[in-house]
Amino acid sequence: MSDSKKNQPEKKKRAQDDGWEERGGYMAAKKQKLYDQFADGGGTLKSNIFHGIVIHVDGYTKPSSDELKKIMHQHGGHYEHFLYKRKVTHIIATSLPNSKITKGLKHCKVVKPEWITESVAAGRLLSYIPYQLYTGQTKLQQGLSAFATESSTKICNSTIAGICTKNSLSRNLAGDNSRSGNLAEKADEEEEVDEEMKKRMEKIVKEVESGSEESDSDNEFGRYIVEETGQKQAILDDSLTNVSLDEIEASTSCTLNNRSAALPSVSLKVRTDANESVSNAMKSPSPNSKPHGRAGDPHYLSEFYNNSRLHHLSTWKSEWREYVSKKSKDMTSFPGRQALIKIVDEHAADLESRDMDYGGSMAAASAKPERVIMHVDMDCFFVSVGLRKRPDLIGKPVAVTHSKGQGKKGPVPGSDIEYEQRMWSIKKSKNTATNPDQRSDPDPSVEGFGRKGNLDSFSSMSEIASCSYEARQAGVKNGMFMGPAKKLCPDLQTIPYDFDGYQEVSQILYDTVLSFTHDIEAVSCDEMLVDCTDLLAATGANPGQFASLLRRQIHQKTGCTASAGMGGNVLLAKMATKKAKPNGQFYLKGDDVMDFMKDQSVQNIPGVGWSMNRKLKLMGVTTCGQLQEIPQSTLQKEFGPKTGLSLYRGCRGQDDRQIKTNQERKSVSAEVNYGIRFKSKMEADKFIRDLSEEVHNRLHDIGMKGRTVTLKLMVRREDAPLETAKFMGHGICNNISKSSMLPLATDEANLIYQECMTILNGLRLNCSDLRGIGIQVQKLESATVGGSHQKKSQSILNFTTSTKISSTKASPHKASVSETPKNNTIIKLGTSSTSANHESVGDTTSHKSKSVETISHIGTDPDERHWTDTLIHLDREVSPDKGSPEGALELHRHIENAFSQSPNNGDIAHDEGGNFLEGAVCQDLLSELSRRKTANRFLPPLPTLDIPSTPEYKHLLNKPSTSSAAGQGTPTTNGASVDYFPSPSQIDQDVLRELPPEIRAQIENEMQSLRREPRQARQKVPNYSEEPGCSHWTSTEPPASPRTSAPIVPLPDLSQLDESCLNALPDDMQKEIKEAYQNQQKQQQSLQCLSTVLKSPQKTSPKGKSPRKTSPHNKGRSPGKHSPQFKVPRGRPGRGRPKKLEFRQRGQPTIFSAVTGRQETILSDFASSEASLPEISEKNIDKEENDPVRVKSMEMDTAPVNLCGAVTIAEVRSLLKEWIQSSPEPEEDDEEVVTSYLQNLIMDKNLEQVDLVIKFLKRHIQRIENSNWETSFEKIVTDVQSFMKTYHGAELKIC
Amino acid sequence: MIKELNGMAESEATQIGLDIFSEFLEVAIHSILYNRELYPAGVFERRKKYNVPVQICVHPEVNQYITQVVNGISEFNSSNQLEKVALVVCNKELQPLEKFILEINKPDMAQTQTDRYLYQLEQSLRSFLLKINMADSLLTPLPADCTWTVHATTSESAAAKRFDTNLENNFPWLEASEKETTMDNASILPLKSTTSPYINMQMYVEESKECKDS
Repeated sequence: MSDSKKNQPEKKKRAQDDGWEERGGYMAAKKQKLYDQFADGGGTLKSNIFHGIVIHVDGYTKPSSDELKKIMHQHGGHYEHFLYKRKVTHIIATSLPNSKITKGLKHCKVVKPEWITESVAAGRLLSYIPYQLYTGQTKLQQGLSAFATESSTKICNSTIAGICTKNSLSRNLAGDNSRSGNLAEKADEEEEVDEEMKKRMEKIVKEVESGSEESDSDNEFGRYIVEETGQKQAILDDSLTNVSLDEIEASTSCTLNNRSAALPSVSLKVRTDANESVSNAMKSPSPNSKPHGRAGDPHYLSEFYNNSRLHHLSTWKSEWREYVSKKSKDMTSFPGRQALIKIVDEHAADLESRDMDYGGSMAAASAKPERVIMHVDMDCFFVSVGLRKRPDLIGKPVAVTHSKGQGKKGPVPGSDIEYEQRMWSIKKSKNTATNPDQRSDPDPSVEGFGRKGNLDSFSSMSEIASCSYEARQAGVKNGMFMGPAKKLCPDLQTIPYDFDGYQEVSQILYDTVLSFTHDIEAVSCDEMLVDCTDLLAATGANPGQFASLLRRQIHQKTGCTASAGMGGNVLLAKMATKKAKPNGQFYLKGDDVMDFMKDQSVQNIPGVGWSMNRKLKLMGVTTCGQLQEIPQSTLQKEFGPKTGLSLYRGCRGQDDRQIKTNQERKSVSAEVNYGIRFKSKMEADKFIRDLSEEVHNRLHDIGMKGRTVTLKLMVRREDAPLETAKFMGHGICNNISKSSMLPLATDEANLIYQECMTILNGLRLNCSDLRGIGIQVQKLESATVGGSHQKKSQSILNFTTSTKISSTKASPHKASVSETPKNNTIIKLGTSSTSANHESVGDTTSHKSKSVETISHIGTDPDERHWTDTLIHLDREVSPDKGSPEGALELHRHIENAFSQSPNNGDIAHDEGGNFLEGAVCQDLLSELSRRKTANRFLPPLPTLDIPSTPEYKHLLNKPSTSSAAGQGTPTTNGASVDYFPSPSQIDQDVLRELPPEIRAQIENEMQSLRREPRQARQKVPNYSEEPGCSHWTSTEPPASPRTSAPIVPLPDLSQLDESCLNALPDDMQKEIKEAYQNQQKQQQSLQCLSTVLKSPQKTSPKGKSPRKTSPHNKGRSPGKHSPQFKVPRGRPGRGRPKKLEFRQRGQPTIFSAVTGRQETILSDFASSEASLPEISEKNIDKEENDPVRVKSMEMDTAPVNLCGAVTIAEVRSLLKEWIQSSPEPEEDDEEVVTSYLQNLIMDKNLEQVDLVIKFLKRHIQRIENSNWETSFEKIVTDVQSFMKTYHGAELKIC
Repeated sequence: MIKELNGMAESEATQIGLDIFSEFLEVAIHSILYNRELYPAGVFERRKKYNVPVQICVHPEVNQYITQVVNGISEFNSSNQLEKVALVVCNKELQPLEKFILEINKPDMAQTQTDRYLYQLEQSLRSFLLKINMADSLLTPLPADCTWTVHATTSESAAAKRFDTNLENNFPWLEASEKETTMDNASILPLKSTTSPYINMQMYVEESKECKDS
């Protein structure tokens, strides 16, 4: 620029002669003048290297712009003074300001001047890529230099440590770039250094070739370069950060390589070798320095998805489908058709002038359109797109791969390549075993391994995504490993993926075709099926005309060639494309089909894969012609009716497949099986969370929700080595996939994550053995249509969830350890019920505040008194029993418990307390729902009102423990179990005063011991402001909406419902509740007993009861079963008749142990209470029974074996007792339930409990002396015994 | 109570479970031998295990046998292929009269956090031992001249592996004949079950009254 300005006065003078004014103004004249000037200046044309290249020089360069101009002129290129983005192909610059890079020149190729000088020196056009001043795709494809520099940086650090100062962190990339450019120039000047370098390089290359001391020399070389850099550093006296070092390294190594290429004595081949060795050497010092992340690294997933070829391919397909269907809606005109019509007209005119008859026949043909499918496929898409940037490689064997083609990187440490080879060959031989003489037909993928016998020479395991036709001639195939390919074709050049380029070309391809028609089925980014029937009919063109026009347009627009095959159906079109390739077109006309098919390989028929091919070969069939001779019946006999028919039709070129222009997605998934090496469960957890997020994003993008979540795992086979031969690959794996049905369609990342974690935990795998993880969501339904009802009900559940999350967030960081698992619990609760919807926090705030309000409301005096009364009343009621003090204490504790779980920081405490309880209730409701599902034959009888608290009480009391137990199952928890004794500060002094003295003493003792335990890390902030007990009751009121899949829970009596409360509920929930009552009534008519009463705790409470919801723990989702606490019943639907005393008394010790985790002291108390019971004989057994270790089922996927929700023997007993005492004769259904419960116990390997239950039944049934019951009991026993007989081979001994 | 400890590695928990199981098996065998009076009470010595008194045989050869049995079984168990261990009491004709069967399930690893100090596990093992003592009263007395053996139910592959290494270990395991394993008209007396993060097992006695009577 500056040069041109200097010359301006002179130029102007000359320009006047040209009469510039007439030509459209000053600038136009100037341009013309400069162009002419360029044309006649500069001397003779030396070569034509730069043909077609137009450069523009920006800023100071070395050599100067004048010199560059001269060079360009001499070598066939063009020099442009002004930056016309359309004209200028390359911008030459050594440094650019950042603003120019980010704004002005974003999509231009900015190249360093060395590109010109070295191209001239080399006598050919070099790829500009290594000379790029910056690359637009820094993240995606780092390229060779990045790899080399990365690892060498370390050495550099040590070498140049002295010179480097670390002040340039703030330096931006542009500055660094410019510096590296300057540096390269400097290097240019240092001729002696270069000479020496070349010599050394030759020497090293020789060494490499001789193969001796490989690594040493490589290292030396690497170090040499590093030193070189160091020297230059010193010369330039630059202080550089690592970042800038990288840049310099990159440019230096490139310069070096290319300079060596310029040397006459070093051939091109040597150059590549040197290239390899350079980067190899660079790599070897620290093979672990990233470029490849390991799964679990924070950015792994995004990096993976940026780099994974398959990911791009797979998303493209759907993207293009989306695109096509979107476009076909948006676009109504077909601009491309004009051109086609024009061609047709010209052609027709042409024909008419020559042969009238033929034209006539053509018109006739177009009058009755024939179905024409065109298959458009780009010719080796990846390669041809890649070659757009590497014009020098055109005509050479080229492969697109991740591998940088350097080869010779040692095997991955710890890997056992031979093992993998063996496994592959086993797999192969399994398939060939049937037909050993057909082994000559090599499968490329296996061949890859086969050829890797001599691993020492080249062991790159990266696959070739695409290779040019030149490479294909040498035997290289797509999908081959780089190592063997290199053997087959030593000059094979590798180019990196260029995803932006693919995207761009694809876009053009699709736009081009879309300009003609919308009947497109996107097959992949470079391939599509076009139904041209309508198009051809509309334009009157023949298929050939259309194909050539289309191909021409594509070639013009993209510079890449495409092939087109046309035929009467998809199959024929695809076959025609095969014939058309490369860069051709072929129309398979109806008459030629049979002949054409005769020569086709059977493998071209859809559905004929690898194994089918072998079968056919056994039958002596290799071509479709041979297959045509086999009658349909034989084929159908051999392959089954469907496959046989499709073969029969296929080999005749018949194909019914339609072009799917508007395809529905069936599933959405994200899968990663590269680089999965988890060190801990946490990492796996994190990874699945990320992956869920990815799935969520994809679901969100297409606006779908799914109902089934499938977790696909690749697990290292037990005998497979820890490391795989392919770096970070998955090696030999077992594939596991498990699905989980969701009650509601979802696209929530968190819910998906939860499901996956549940499945993963259920599999009990060692995380370090995971090699691949995929999450798939199926059963898609639209997120908007028909989701309104679900959405509404979800929002309420979200309420519990998201408030939890928010409160978790709100809680200070220093929240005690005891809190953390609880918070998790809460989240878990919410998520298991629906999804944790962060966005819905806002929505739910109102709910939150509402709950707080209710709490404070209940906290007022009268209610409090009422509550205390209740408690006292309860005490009295219980007092005849020895166990009762325990019970009361228990109650108290439980109530307090609820509050110990919330941090005591003022408002947060309120919120969390309330929310927690709500969560707990939700959990409770859900579990009830599920229990009801399992035993939905039982329906609650009418509730009794006279006793105000007990079952409900207990019911509620259980919640904190159950729900917190849930937390323990979650892998996210820090693994600590929780002590549920309330914080000392949480004890309400008023309540405490009301308690009987001995209870109070116990509580105080307990408190003191707690205080002594520093580990408990409880909050010390006293918080007396609310009445825990009262608010506890309020917490039972959250209007929980029924989930579609979850069954309805035992409902309170209709009369218990508060009208106003019901009315306040959302409409759909009201409806649900009403439905639930209707159902209940229906069922009540036929069934009875073993049911529960949910009594209102306070008659005065203004609250109505809403249906309860619980997490369906039979779905295996409730984590509670992992903890002993789980056996605390969560509201039992087995209760109803006024047997409360026993019930309470029995249940309590269990709860107690679960809650406090201190059994020792309690057990004795409990034993004494048991003593008052009829079953004295079982006293010690009971004691053991209450051992909290006892959890019935360890199976992840099944709930603990339970009898209508009763798990522990104590629960079961009280349930059975009620059953026996409440009804004069047993129902058959109930018998069955008990029998199946016992059978489940047997299968659960818990004979002890079977024994206890039978003994219990026996005793009680004998006592009532009811013949009906006795027969019933006998029946149960017989059934159980026969089951025992089959399962264990022996009957149970009933003493 | 045990919050502050970080999550124990699953493998660690598994190993703990295996070790405890082996230990318990040994104690249980001794207890059964004592309770069923398979050896005279004189060769037993009172010791304390799991905080309860147990009778341990002091006869060196018996002890050696038990040790080797336990070693063999823990080998099966370590490969997760142990299903049942049965201490079989046979009469002179080697007909099985009683089987004390320990049936093993896969422990639930997810629970590892809940019993960090093995407190609950110890307690349940204690009750296993108490139950063994108690079983004596529920079972019919054994005839004189009884002998005993240990059966392990395992997968075929594990057994095959074991047979291969029989010689090395100098303690051969053999496949049990049907006669040794089947009992006619057996009845089952359940003793105790436990599910803990480390061990998940149940114990019951299968006894054949007819054989005893005859």
